[in-house]
Amino acid sequence: MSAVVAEHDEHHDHDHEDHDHGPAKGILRWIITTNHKDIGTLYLLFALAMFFVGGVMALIIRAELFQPGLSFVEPQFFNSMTTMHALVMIFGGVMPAFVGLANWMIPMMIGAPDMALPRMNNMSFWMLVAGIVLLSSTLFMEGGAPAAGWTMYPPLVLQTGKALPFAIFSVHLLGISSIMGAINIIATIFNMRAPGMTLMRMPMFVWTWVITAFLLIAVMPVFAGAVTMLLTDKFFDTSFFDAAGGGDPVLYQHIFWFFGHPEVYILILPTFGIASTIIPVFARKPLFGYSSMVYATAAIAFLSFIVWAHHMFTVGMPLAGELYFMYSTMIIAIPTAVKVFNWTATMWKGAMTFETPMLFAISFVVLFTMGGFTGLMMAIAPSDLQYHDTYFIVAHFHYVLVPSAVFMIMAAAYYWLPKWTGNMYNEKIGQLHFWLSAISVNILFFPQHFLGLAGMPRRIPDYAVQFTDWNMISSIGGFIFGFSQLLFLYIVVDTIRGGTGEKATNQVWEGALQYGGGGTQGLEWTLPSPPPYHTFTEPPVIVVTEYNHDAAQ
Amino acid sequence: MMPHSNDSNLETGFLMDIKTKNWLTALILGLLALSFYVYAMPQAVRDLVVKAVKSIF
Repeated sequence: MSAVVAEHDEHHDHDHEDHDHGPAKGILRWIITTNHKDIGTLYLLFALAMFFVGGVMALIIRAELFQPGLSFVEPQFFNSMTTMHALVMIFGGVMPAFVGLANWMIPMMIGAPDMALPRMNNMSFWMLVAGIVLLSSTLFMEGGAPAAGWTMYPPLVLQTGKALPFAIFSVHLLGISSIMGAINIIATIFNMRAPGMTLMRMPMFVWTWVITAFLLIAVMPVFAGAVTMLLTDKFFDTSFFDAAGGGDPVLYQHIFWFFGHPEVYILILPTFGIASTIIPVFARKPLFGYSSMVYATAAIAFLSFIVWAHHMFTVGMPLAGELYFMYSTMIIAIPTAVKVFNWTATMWKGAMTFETPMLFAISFVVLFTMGGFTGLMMAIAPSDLQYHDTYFIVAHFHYVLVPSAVFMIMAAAYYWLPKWTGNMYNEKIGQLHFWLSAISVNILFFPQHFLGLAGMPRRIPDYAVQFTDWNMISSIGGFIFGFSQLLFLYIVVDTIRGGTGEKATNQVWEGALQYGGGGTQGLEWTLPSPPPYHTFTEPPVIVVTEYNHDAAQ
Repeated sequence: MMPHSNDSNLETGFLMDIKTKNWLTALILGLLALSFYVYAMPQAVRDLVVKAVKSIF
């Protein structure tokens, strides 16, 4: 099916040219590294650690909610847990995992030798670590960690003890780190593509990341502005959000969600990119509607800026405002449905096999669609008055974050681990991990829909007795899901140490070379597994595949 | 290790090595982000920054 057949194994040997050198020795390698693969590994390992830290916080929450009454923790600490769980998972887990994947894969996918700005890349990572360490340190401060929820609404958040300025400073660090990472990714994709790798031939993962990077640059400063106003309200006698001084707490909600909604898409767009990369490979079919996928991603990104107030229907907006935000939110379903349709059409009549990455990808399509549908329910302003601030919301966003974003991060890890390490992972344990995760995640989050519809509020450590049964089931699911992730940890460590003993080939997966790229062969699969420390020091020969007509043009 | 870029430089006839191009891209995007920061920050913070910069000179 390749339109242009060219042997291009020659670049395998280029790592011995141009005075290439290996990594520095010892711990210093990881501190001063500017190599995109090393920094990608650092990001991924950091994200893995943060998933477990945030996961322990989630288990504390679920343990407390196993039965009514105050069982294990103080209410203030419980509220800190809900807040910190969200912040750690979003800023320490999901975002760094995607940046790690971008660091590892984008240069190899576009035929670049490294990221455009390697030193800034190193700085972004260590600034992230500093931000998360600072944020975590607030747990040990007088008055405890922030406990007003990850949205940090005033006036409640202004009651935080000594931790508030530290949390705000950590948000600044995390924001600057994200922006530097985004600038690097855009510069890499715009400037470093190999000759012949046109924009409309790029793999979808690269496309989704370049759009995500623009979202990051646009909205992180907004969040920084919002929290800085909190800081000045608390310590410098301003009244931005204080009604007594002429301010308005609702203003904070508008500013926060102008950041917050695009942030949701920052978490989900790279997820789409991974799904669009994995599904064609295991369906052994080209991605259906490549260009419509690109335009749908851009449309979702654009729409994310004009729908923010659907998070705050209950504040008392004018009817015209409610109608506008209701309809604009519903419009997002169109490009999203285009994507779901395209993934399904890609699988349609494909010669599918069900290795672990594909299992995660299929479950993502199903469970993300469920999360999307509940989102559509909440977009209906009058209905949202019932759902607002209940467990229905918790169920909704966990469906679009856990079996969607987190599942696809794990799918990506299974998909690329053999490439990164040169070793095959244990497929049986991988599949066991998938089935345990997929079943338990539904036991964990599906009952929360019922709890929300019945009126159970979110962010409470105690609840009325009629909510007991579903909470117990949800907690049991939570513990099964949490402990199942130890299997993932085992697989990662085991694969790094040699895995099954079977060495990974260059291509690893049967359909990877042909269907793993955009309009070209998947460049990363032309490299040895594991790839040499420096890759594509000379531009690779791009092999255009005709399978995707609009991408190949 | 010599970085390479796509052939857009040749197509446009705009002569610039890849390192300069990368830094220029970063500068433009950085200024864009900075302008968003300035716009999003409260006036009090902007005044504080201006005062601090003035105090240096």
